[in-house]
Amino acid sequence: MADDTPKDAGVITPDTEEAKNFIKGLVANGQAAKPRPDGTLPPGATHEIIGETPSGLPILRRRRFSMF
Amino acid sequence: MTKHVPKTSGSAITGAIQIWEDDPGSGVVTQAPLPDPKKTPFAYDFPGAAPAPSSDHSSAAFRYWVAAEALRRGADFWAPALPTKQWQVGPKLKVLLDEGEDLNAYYDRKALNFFHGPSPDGTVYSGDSPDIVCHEMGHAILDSIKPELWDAASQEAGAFHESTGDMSAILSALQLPSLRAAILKDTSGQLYRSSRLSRLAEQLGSAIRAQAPDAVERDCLRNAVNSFNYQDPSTLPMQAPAAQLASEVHSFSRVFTGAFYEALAGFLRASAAHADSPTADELLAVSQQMRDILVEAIVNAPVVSNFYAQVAAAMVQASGKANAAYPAILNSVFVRRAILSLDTATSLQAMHVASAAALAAPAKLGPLDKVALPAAHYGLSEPLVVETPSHPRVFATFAATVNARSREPSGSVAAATAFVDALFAQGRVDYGELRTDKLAFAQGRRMKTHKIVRESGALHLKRRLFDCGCRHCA
Repeated sequence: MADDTPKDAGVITPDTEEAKNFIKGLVANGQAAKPRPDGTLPPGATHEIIGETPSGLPILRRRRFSMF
Repeated sequence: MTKHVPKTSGSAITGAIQIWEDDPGSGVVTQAPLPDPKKTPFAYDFPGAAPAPSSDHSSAAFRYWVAAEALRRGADFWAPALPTKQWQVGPKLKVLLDEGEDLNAYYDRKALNFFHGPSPDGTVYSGDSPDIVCHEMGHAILDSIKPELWDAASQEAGAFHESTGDMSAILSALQLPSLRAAILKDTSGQLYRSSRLSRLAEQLGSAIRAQAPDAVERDCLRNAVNSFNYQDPSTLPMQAPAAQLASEVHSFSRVFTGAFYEALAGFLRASAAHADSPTADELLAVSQQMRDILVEAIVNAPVVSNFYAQVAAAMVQASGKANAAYPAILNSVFVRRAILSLDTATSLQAMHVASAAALAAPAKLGPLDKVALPAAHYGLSEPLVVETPSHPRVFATFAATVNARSREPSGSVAAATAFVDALFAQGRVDYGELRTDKLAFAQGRRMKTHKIVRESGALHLKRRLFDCGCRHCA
């Protein structure tokens, strides 16, 4: 499936303590992940990792909300 | 639990369909009118031709109409209260009932996506549960009125989205007459008891529990009857067993959902003709009042780090229009859950309707936001409405710390509070026509730069002049 995430979707960067906590939590819980070759996210992931900062923290973009 | 599963004849039903009332795990079936998924506003787009209705509970056709009915019922419930008449994605929202294997469901701004997966009792389909489809629909509803939450890098904002999904499932379920009657009977009219209304997604919870025993509640996915209280999510573990609170958004959502459910039960007791034996009609009315209060609060709440408190305070403000008893009920619940501080709740309680109306007045030419500060320590018996430094920051301007690093600016309310404290402490405020025998601060002879005036029924702090700043100006 091609990545047709809406173009106005924002980027979530670890530029505040709250954002860092948010991002670390998503990574720890498997809710932030790189897309699979077909562009889809693994089960349970809600955010796509689209890059990383010089300090190594990921930069994210929300792709969806989940039930669980 | 009593199950009322009827015989399955496999024959099509004309004009009415069979549906799960809340979840296949509960196993209670009822009848509902044949829904029109394409009805506007908030139409749905199910790809392919609609199958003939079926009462074979294991069939794809049965699952199709269960989802279609729940989604139509949910959207029809929310629509009258919403300031918009379409989804964030447009007039129609796609529904994909089986996108492969996963014990989950998603809203991704393109569609509501459902899946299938294994369980000890066979294959489960997340789109077969009205609880789950109305949870995902709740995400889409919230996205249509608060799209900025989508990108918010905030645990509370994300958790509130999940809570809205669960609140949507509960309120949508209450639109079924048969379920309202059953819940009142099962709980003996005491709504704040664990029931199949408070328990969400029992079947999916069972399937997940088989793989991860401590990941979900013992009898469902999540339960709105819980005892979780607010804690700063940054101080919580990122993940924890279901019995504990974590900052993970689904876990943390239970704090707000629990408060919501407790308040819903409180509303019912307060509004019922007989508090211990409320009727199904009274429960319906309360569900609609809660919807209106929630929507108004969500629309008015600013997206900031303490989003729970913002929505809670806005709910208190909005609730007085529905019933004079509701603000105190909400305050009590939110304080008990630590979502609101006692100071905030006290301030909200003291604020009368005219004051709230002044705060909600539409903006003109980009005025600063207003906030009602607790003002007892200024000698005032009601809150004082002041403007806060809340315009968007066009330039990133920061003060410096001792090591020359940028210092995060104070929040706008903190900055306003410090400013007003200083004005009173320095004797710079003219109390105007107010009685002065109970004032905490002597009026003094210093030049009064600000004056308290009553506008639209509320006390406002207004600047009178700028002065030279000389301490001895009289």
